[in-house]
Amino acid sequence: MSSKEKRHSWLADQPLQRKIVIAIGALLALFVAASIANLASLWRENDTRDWSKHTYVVLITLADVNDNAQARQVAARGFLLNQSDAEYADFETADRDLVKSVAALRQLTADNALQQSRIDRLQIMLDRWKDEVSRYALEPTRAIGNAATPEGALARESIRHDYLEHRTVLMTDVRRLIDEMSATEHTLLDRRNGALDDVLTATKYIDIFSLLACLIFGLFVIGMTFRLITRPIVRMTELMSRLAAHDHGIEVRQLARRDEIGEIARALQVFKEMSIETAGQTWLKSTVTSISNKLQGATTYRQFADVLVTELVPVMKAGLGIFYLFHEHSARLERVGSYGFREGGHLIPEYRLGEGLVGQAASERRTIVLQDLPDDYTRIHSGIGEGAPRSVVVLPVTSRESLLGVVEIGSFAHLTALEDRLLEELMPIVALSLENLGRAISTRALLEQTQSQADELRASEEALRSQQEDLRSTNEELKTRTTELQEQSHRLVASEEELRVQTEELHASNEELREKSVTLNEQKDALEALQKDTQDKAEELARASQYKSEFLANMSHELRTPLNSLLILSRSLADNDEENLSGEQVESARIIHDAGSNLLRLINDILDLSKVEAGKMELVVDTFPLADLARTVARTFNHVAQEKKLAFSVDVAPGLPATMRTDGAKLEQVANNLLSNAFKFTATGTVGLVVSRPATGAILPAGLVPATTIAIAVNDTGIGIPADKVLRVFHAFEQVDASTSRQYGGTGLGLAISRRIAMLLGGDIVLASEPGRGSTFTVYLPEEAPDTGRSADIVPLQQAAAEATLALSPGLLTDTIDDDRASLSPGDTVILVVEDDPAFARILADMVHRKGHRVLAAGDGESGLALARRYRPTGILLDVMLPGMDGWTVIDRLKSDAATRHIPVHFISATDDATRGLELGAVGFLTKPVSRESIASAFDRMLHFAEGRTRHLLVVDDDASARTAVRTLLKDDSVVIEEAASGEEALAKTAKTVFDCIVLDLGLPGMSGIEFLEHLSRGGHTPPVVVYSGRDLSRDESMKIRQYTDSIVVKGARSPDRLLDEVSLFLHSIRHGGGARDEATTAAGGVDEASLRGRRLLLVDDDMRNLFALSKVLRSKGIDVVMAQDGQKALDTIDTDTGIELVLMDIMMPVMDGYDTMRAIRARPAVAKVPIIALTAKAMRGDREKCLEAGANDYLSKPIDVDRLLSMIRVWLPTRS
Amino acid sequence: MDVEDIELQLFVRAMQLRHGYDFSEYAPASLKRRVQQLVRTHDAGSISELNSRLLHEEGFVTRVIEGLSVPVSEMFRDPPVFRTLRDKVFPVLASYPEINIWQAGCAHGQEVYSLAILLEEAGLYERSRIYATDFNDAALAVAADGIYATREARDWSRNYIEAGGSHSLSDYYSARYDFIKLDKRLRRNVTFFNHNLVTDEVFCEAHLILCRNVLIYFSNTLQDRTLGLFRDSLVRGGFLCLGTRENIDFSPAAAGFADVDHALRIYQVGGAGARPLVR
Ligand SMILES: C[S@@+](CC[C@H](N)C(=O)[O-])C[C@H]1O[C@@H](n2cnc3c(N)ncnc32)[C@H](O)[C@@H]1O
Repeated sequence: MSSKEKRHSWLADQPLQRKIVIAIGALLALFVAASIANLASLWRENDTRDWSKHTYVVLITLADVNDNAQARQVAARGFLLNQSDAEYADFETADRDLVKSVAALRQLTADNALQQSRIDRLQIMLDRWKDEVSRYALEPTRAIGNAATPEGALARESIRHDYLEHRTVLMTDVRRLIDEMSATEHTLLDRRNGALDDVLTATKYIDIFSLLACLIFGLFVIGMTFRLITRPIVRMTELMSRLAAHDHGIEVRQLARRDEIGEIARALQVFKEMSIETAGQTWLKSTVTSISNKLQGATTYRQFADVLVTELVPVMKAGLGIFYLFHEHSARLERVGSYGFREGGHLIPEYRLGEGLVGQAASERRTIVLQDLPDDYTRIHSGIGEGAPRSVVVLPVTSRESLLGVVEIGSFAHLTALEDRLLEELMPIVALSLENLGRAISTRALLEQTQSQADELRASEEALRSQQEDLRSTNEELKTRTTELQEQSHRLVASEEELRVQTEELHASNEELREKSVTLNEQKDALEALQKDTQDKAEELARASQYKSEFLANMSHELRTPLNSLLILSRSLADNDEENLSGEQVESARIIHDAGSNLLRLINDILDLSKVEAGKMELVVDTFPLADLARTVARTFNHVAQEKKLAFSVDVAPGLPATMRTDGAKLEQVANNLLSNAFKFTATGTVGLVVSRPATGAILPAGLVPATTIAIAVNDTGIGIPADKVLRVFHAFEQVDASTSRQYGGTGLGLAISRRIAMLLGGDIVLASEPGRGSTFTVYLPEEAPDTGRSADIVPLQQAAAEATLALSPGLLTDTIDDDRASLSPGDTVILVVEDDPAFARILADMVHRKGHRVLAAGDGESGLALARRYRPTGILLDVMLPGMDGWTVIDRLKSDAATRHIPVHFISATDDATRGLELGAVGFLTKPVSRESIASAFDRMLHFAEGRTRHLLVVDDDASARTAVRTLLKDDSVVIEEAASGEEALAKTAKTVFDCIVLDLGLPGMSGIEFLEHLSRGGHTPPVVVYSGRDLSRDESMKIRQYTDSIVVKGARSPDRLLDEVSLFLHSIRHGGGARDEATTAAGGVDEASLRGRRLLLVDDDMRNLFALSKVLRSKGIDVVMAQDGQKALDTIDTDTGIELVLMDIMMPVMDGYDTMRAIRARPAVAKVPIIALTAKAMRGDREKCLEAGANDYLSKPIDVDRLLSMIRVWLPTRS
Repeated sequence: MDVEDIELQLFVRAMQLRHGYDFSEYAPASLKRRVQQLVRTHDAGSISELNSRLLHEEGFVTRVIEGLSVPVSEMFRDPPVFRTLRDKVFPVLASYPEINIWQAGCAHGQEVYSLAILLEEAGLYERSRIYATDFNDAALAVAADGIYATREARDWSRNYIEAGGSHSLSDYYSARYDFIKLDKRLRRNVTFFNHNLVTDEVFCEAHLILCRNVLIYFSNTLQDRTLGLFRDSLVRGGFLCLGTRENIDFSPAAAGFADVDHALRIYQVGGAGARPLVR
């Protein structure tokens, strides 16, 4: 058994890998041996079987030999009997066969000598037999032939006898020999079969044995694996998990093994030891910290000692502990704390140094350990008994070699190493804490002492101060009392004096006052009277002029209203659309129309004149380039000159300033008037306008100096003016004579107005004329028009007019015309006409009917509103000045009611406040008087915006499938969708159809999307466009596009929704895209101002919405706006573009903000002086200063008030050179 | 009215008259608490003492503003809000060629960076601009630095994941000592500006406005004004995102907005869109 154990342990020591190799190797060897044995016996078996087969072949050949011999004999016999040739042939074949078979037999038995010799014999016998037969029987027989003669028979008989005599070999002998040979072969066969059987049995045994051997060895290997590998590993794992659970009691076996298992076991052992060590360490550390923490809490020595021993003794599993404190001054150790200790007996509470073990340990500063104490040394008590400690430890507590105390511990057991270490580590900490405690105790004592001293001090100070206070106050009191007394006496004397003077003065002034009051009263009365007078007069004056203005305004309105109808009707008569008027009637109608037009012109002139006279003419004085005057004048009159075949020239003399400060529009009005007069009165020759300095010697109007005066002379070669009429031409309502008026037309007010305007501008008009030769009107104006101040607003006038209308036309009101309200059916296009002039209302109604629509009519605002709400008309034509609620209010109410908001409203009014109308949401605004054409286009416009009609949408995309996708997305009953595959095609379509919206893909073949937009906008009325882009756009690109539209949709997951939103917004709602709002802005700023026209300005803002809104307004003023999207671009622009005259600068921009950009501009010498206006959303105090500091000249906060911006621009634009 | 309330009113007047800051429309209770806090931090005996320093001491006002603003924030604060922005709002923003985002009351900028990260991950940051505004300059300076305490970043990482971030927040900052510094690249399309919602005006056309946890400090009137500003700034179809404790339900401005997610206070401007900035 022990040898087996040994073998195992040898095996066990092998590494795992080798173990596995050995087991598998042995199994393989066993398997190979078994296979070889098996193969060998198989081979032998085959061999034996071959030999048996051979024997069988020999036997068969023997039989052949026998048969052939027999056959030969039979053939021979046959021949002898009947002598046939066939028999003889048979004989010969059999003989041949016999020879062959004998030869075969010889070959087969070549290895068997016995048989060979027998064959030899056989051969001899056979040969001899043949020989004898041939010689004695056959040959003679053949010689005789087969004659059936008796001699033949006799001969044959003799031959037979002869043969029988001579024969030596018998066939029986031959057969015997063959039998002998086959017997020999049979014995051989038997032997060989026996050998085969033996071999088969042997193979069977080999197989059984090798199978058993493999089985047994396999089982052995499994058993060994389990024993040597699996079991130890399982055991190790178990140990490891126990170790992990902090079970330190585990025992690790198989340490000595030298394989991997052994290594694991050894590692485990190391882990176990480490774990025990750490546990010990942790215990040590935690004990030390817990004790030291508790010690920290002690405030007295006794507490300290108690804490120390009560904590330490149980931890050490000891039963007794005492702490002695060392008092340095008395050099004694005092017992201050104990544990498990009973008072009394031989134990003393105090030790001197060197006294007892305690004193000894203390004086030597060395730990003393006593083991195996005698029983009566001391006792440890408990409730149930007592016993003697087995060991005592006395430890000195020292810090830097100075003694602080001693600890004594008695215990039943001996100290373990760990407990030793605990004491070792703990003692310095105990010492430190003790020292700290000592220090704290003494500090506390000191503190208390100082505190009480301070308290005392404070108390005495307090007392002192209060004494001082007392003293000072009594002192002061005394002092004040004395001064008071002194002053009182002084004052008494003084007041006596004063009193006397005062009475004196009083007397005097009383007298004076009385006198003065009398004169004053008189003066006051006079003044009051005067004041009243002037006031009355002023009021009267004001009232008069008010009346006049109001009258004029009303008049003009009242006159314009009927004129309006008159003009339209007469025009339509004159057009003779229905062709039912005679030539004469048409002519009359035309005369009526012309007369009406003249009347209208006259009214307008009167209004102008009255404005000038009432001082209500508004002057807008501004820088005005003289070249502008020349240009506009030339443009206006060139074709007149061509028509009348007159020569016409405009000259600006050299040496004049480029600009002057005046009201350019008014100046142009004057020049126009003078020129149209000149053309009117000139039949042949020339008309000219010359701008120059006054001619030397010219008599200038008062207050003008030649050096700063501009002379604008209009000369003609017309009929001229007689000298006596020269002055009167400037009078209102006067022309040279009444007949001229008839001949040449005109109101005769033009010159009067022109002169008034010239005077208003600080100059005058002078006339020089020769009848028949022509006349020259010269306008003299100062370069700088006097600032007359803005005259009063026009608005009150209008209001007054509105009120007056109310008063003037009562009863002219509602429902004076018939409308279709009784016969409306659903589906009708219904137009509501709100107009207080029944004549005009009827005209409008008529036109509506002619267009095939239904009409509703209202004569005042209230009923108009009511009709609109009730019938929801398709569109509304609205007058402004209506009795009661005016047009402004009506549209306001309409637009704030969801039910009527969508109805398009078109204004037709005598008022010309288009801006206000469009701002309120109207689709258009016509100022009376109106032509039929303009009314017709107003209808169209209105119906275009009306709801319910079919909308037209154009989809521009080169990709057919994309077009189909958009078409499917936007499909709607009321929308007709057309498609275009290229920009060119789309342009052609827009020329034919008015689209409500265009969906545009940017990437088009040929003309690009942006080019398409450019073309489209150049064509005038642009439908709203939604750009649908398949790719991201750069900032620059989108900025380009945003000039035309702000609906840009980038294709993506959610873009179809947005596309739908954007498009339906344009198709179905109040937003008109490029429509009304655009016109509103242009209308608002429509007049482009001379002082701003052509000036180049840089607008810097990162916000595109702002950028475009502002640039649009500014451009409408004729300003050339350059845009920059950020600070850097602004700098680039200003560096390259030297024509920039002013910069508008946004402040809050990314990367480089407005402040930095302004500073950068100011740092460039070339542009340091360019004025900058900062635009900022910041409105805090200080923001302005910040802008100015950074270099801005001025500052405007958002949202931008355009008027303020414009005046600021005017202020800061440098005067034109 | 007790003395302190009088002092508080005087404080508000002093701020307005001396420095142009209008706090009269701040919610009184919280304003009072902030001012009391100011008294404590500046060791002033009373609000009046504060007032006198406010009137006479140069530069004191900035410290007062710092005290009155409450610049607390987190990255991806209320992660569902950011998740919804990412899932519902961003796809719509993607259909605009450029995206302007106004982050009003950005405090120390955590939200700004959060937005930048989400935009970056959605592939939209290249065409976005973020305007981050606050009226507290000191806070803006912190925001521009993008440096925060590491201790906070731990919560933020969780928020980031909850908000649907597809990487790890740590990909976007480098940590050193006790601080993390956000990747400078996140700042490339951000502009920080001083902007006071009480006094200042609209300055950009925005596609998305985030103003979270600012309106709570305002009275109803001031909230209405502020919402009006937002309304004017937003493009047609633009989005507004408020703090989860704020809402527009009772404001006149509500009419122009439709809910995208009511609970998370994400709204969209419907109808005709922004008004022009020019009068
Ligand atoms: C609580 S923080 C909000 C931070 C961040 N939006 C969030 O929700 O986490 C409020 C911020 O609003 C700012 N704030 C307060 N009043 C403001 C005003 N009138 N204008 C601009 N910002 C203001 C404060 O400075 C502060 O930074």
